[in-house]
Amino acid sequence: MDKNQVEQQIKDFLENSFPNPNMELTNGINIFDDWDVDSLGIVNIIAFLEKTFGIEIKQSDINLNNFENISALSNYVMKKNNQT
Amino acid sequence: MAIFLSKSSLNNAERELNNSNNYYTVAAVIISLFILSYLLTNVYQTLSLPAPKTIAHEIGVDSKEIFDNQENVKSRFWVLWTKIYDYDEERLMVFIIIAFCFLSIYFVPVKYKRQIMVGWFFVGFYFLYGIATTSGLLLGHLLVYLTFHPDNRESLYISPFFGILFFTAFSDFNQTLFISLIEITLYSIISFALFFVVLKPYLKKESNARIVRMVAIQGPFGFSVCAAILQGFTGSELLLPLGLIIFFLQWERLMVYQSDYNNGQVPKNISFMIYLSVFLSPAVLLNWSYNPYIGQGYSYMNDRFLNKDKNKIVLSGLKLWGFALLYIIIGNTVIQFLVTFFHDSLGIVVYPYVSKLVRLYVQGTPMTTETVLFSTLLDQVRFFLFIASIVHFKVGAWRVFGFDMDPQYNKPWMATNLSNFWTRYAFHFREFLSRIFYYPIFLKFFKNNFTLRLFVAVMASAAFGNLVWGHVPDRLWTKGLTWDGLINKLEAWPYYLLLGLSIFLTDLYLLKRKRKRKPWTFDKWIWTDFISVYLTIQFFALIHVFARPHPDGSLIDYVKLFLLGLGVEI
Repeated sequence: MDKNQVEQQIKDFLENSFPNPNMELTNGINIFDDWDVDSLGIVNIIAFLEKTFGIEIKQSDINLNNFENISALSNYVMKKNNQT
Repeated sequence: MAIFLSKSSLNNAERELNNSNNYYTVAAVIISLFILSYLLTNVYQTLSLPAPKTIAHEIGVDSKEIFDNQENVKSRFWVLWTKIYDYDEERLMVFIIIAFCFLSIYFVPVKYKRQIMVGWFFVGFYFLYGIATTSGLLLGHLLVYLTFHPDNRESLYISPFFGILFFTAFSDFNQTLFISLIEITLYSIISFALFFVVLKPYLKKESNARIVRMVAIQGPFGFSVCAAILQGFTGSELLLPLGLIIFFLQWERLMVYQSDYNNGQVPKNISFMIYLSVFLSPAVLLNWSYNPYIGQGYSYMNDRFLNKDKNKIVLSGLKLWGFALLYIIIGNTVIQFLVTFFHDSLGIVVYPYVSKLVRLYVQGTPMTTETVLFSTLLDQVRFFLFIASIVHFKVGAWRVFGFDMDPQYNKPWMATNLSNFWTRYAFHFREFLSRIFYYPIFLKFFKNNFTLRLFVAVMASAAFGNLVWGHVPDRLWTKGLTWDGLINKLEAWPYYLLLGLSIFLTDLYLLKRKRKRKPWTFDKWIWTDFISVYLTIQFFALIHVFARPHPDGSLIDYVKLFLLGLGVEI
């Protein structure tokens, strides 16, 4: 699976789970400040990433560097996939 | 529930870019501290200024709810457990220490700031508590530092201080100076030898190190529970030295430090002073046992230190001090007004303390649903005004020292569901529970069943961890290691169970439903947000009838009172 496919899957998930009808979700948009994913939404994202991409997420990985936007999330997924 | 999401911390060179000086900021801090000192202490007498009460009287504000008998503003800013000075003098000392600390660290390069801050903490702490308590506190932290960072070169140098601190913490100083010096030398040699020959080699093996660290962090809790149980059998209560109690009270933060350490977020070569700066600043001198988990662990404090322009952080701290002062001034008046309003205008008897409501109900006083609902609600308003005044001051002081710390209370009246309310009402405490219980469990167990996974993680943090790790130890350390104290706290289990279950159901509902609108959007449905806020806060308030058990009460009494609040009379 290449990075574009990962990004598209994450984008579909976010649009479906946290719909914002009046906004366009781009890869660089901050999903917490601008797309309004709340703290509870993070557990949903974690479960989605684990299930969809088969990665194991560590507590120390849950930070803005990995979760801030679609690009960061897809980079994180690619990195984890490369590690396994 | 989420842990605090942060980016990588800045290094000192990057922080230096945020370290620009502004004399208006300095003036604002000093003026703010002067106003606080004038209003909350007796300093007006020393300065031959008119009393705050006199000025208030002249402008038509004349409430006995606002001023104490020394004619300054009634305040619950206390330096706990010290009898050297009175509260006004202690408050003034803390304000002066904060002023000197701020002036000392504001102008210096970033790499010295945290060390100087710790230095001022110890100056203040020593004057307020004396040598034995100061040594006890430092002893606890030194032990943690040595067990977590045994391979630091600094650990070798400071290990003899363990013996010196042990002597100054527990010695009665009755012997001659010569004997004392011999004892100090002996203790320091023994502590150095124990560290170098026993502890350091033992900690080389990671499995040993993990056990020792666990004992160092969890030991105080286990020891205290055992002491309380023993008190139940023998009747004699173990009295802990004050320095150790004060150290123990920071244990939630130590647990988060341990979590940071295990996650590789604490630098291996951290110095002792930087370690101490995570926990100790003049911001924590007041009301030590009130919300001692504020600030969490290393990663949070390091992320937040000068992460943006210093002056912006300092001024945001002053804003919080403003709110703290407002809550102090209006707190009692608002509560008194509401009690009178409910009684005189609506004909409803309300009690601003849930404990009183429960006691009277247990003793047979007839209650109505309105009394139960409004009393529990008023108790939360009272609690908020009281605690927020203290916590906003503490967080404000951390900000004045350059830490961009989140407030413990973040507009809880905007929460439209219980899950969000808990975030807004107890930010740092919730983060502690998330870091220690929620995420470790969520990331490890029941990965194939999301609902079960969520349930176990929420119950482990909001119910079990909240009660056993969050509230029982504080109770024992502040009220004494007694069986009755232990049982009284554990008797409140239905509150924690209901809180956990309710948050779980809220989370599940929020995750399963399709969101149609954001709360507080200005549209025709905004009225539902107001109703949601009331229902959320009222429910949270109502379950507190289980949180304040009375010695003569039973679970049946509390269930009946809870149901009465819901309009069901049994």
